[in-house]
Amino acid sequence: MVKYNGKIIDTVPLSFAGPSTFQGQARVSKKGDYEIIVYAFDSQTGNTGVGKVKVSVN
Amino acid sequence: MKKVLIAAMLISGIFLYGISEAVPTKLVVKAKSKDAKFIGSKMGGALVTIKDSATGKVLAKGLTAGSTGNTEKIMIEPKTRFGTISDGAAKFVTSIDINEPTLITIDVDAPLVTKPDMIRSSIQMWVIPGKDIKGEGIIIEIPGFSVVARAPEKISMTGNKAIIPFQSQIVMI
Repeated sequence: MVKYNGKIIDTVPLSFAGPSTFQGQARVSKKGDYEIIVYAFDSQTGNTGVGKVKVSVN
Repeated sequence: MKKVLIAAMLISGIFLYGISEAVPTKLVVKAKSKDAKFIGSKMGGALVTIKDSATGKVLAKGLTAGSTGNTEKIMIEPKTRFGTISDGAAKFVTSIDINEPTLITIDVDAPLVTKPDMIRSSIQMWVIPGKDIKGEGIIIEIPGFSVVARAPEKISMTGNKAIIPFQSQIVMI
């Protein structure tokens, strides 16, 4: 998920990039501070996890 | 009459001693990741805090240490009622001094290696002085995944757009 100005503006799928590693790209068109929120969810167990990272676009 | 009085005093003395003396009571706590194995030294251990539920006083605190346990027993074999799954798995062993049946709260925080991912699972249970809970012990489940997201701190626009590449490490807690 891509967050900008307090709102989720896009959702991007991640692709497998190696053991336990996933990657993706977010395309944006405005300068400012973004937050990338990555979540993992297993519908069978309900296991869920979230990681966040901030990115500044200028 | 005198003998009866002495006997009564002795019995009451023993009784009073029995109820007022704090008795060390051993507890074994294990933290298990939901749908996965036990949380041990590899993940920095799980932080176990045992409190008196009535007063909030911390009775014991420490980390689980040891291995993640036996994969076959935990993940493959069907679990039976009194069957054990945690032989050799990471644990926190402690002894609390209590002098009466005590309601305790056990908080387990994990994983410690990636603090932003830390999840707390809590339970409450009664403990009776001298009635140790060991062997399989108290198994507390931690749900979730550990997700660590990484991306460059700064990206420059090219024309009127920018591409933010990001990567994530996702593992069972």
